[in-house]
Amino acid sequence: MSQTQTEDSLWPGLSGLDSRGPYLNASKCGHCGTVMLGQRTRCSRCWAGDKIEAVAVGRRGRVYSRTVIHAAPAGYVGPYTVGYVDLPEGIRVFAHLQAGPDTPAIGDEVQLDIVSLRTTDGQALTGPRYRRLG
Amino acid sequence: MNLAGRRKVAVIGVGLVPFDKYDDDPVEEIARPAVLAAVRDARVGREDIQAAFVAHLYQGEVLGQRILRGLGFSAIPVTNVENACAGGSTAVRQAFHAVAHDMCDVALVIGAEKMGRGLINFVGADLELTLGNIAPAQYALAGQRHMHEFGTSPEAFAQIAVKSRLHASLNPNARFRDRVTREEVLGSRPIAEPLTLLQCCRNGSGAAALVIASESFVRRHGARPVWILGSGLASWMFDNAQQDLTSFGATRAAAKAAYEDAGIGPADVDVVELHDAFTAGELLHYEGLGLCPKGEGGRLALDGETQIGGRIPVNVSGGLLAKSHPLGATGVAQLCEIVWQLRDDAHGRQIEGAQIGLAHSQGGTGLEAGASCVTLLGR
Repeated sequence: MSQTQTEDSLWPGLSGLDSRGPYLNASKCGHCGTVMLGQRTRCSRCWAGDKIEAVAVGRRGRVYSRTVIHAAPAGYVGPYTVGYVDLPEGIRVFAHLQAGPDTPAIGDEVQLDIVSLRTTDGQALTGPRYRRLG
Repeated sequence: MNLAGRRKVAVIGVGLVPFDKYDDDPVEEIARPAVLAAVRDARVGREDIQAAFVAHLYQGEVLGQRILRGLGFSAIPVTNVENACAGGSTAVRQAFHAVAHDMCDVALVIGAEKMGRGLINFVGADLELTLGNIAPAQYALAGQRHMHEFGTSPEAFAQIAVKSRLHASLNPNARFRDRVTREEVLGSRPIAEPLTLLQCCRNGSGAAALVIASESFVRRHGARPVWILGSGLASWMFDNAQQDLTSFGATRAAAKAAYEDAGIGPADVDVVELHDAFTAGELLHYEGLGLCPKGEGGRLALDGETQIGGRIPVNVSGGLLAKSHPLGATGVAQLCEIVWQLRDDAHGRQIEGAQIGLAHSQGGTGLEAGASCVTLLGR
């Protein structure tokens, strides 16, 4: 794993980029193997606080559900497509989905991009968006 | 968790301040008429009230004390309760248990909230909200998965909004009382597909209050009791797990606990007030509460089974959709409606012969970190 994108991320530490492309940061417990989204200091399953190792997850996944948000909250411009994506690592993440004719449907396999999701004071803020694999 | 040996407990007084904007009133003043109405309905005095449980989400420190000191209460224990949108029903549960376990004879429950406008925002940092998720989209995502797995149609969700307004047209306490057609619901402004504006509850301010008492007080005092048969509270706190979103786990667990607590089942229930912040939520809660088998919520809605006159009327008050949603007050107001139904006091919308009622509310941040509370009441 190389450097983590933080400076313009909507949620610092959420994602990273290496030679294989973007990924989401997760934590894996060295005792019981549980994988948790984000940078954690304690295992939610076995409660161990040591041997928590950073792992890259979420390069690919499968869409569990999706919707199009029209009533955008402050800072966002609607409509945009979002969904829950189930990762092969066993966790589910909320993310944006590519809109338009190639927008992924429920059940589709998807691939992660880190893209600008909104702009604040002229600065682009990035976050995860999945597109249909292929 | 059947609590053998506990005392019987009844609701003996209810008070509701119908939900609206109340832009010019402080929350304490919004709440006090509900307290007075409940106390007068119970025909008790201030000196009879031995404890208070007060639900709210955004009203700051010691709301209950701020309400009650203006009504001359002094030294009773006051517990302020926060469980997001399930706070009101959780406060009812706390009062129920306090009386059932002989900590007091008569308790007051208050739910009160003064709301702002627009989408509800949570105080704590939340990854999904930061990434642009909104509460209606969380329910829409559950609804979309239900559509995918069971073929549920957008019309089924829309029909729930039609029903809510039909019921509200019969209830002078409801806020949005104009009837609407399915076409009007589907044609209203899109919020998060398939949900349109008329399928989302509006913010509102308001208050509700209950007086609850032990059986011995009821006998001594000669009150009109509606008995609390059982209560279930559950949470669903999975950490990014791949849970089934087509049924709310907290609702299922809370319902199971309440039915077991009361020793009855869903087929025994005659009238239901459930948490319809969004139509998709109501449809999924039909299944979570056991009103129909899994996957059949859409059919239940389209066949009119949950409409007044149907097999199991749901949200005869108009629900959150037609009453609006002052968070802490909502769960207490649901109890008011069930009590009126079980006393034959629900003029214009009475479910004839209703013997057992169920109230359900749900709250939280996201679909997997919240609380659900179910209360069963009987004549």
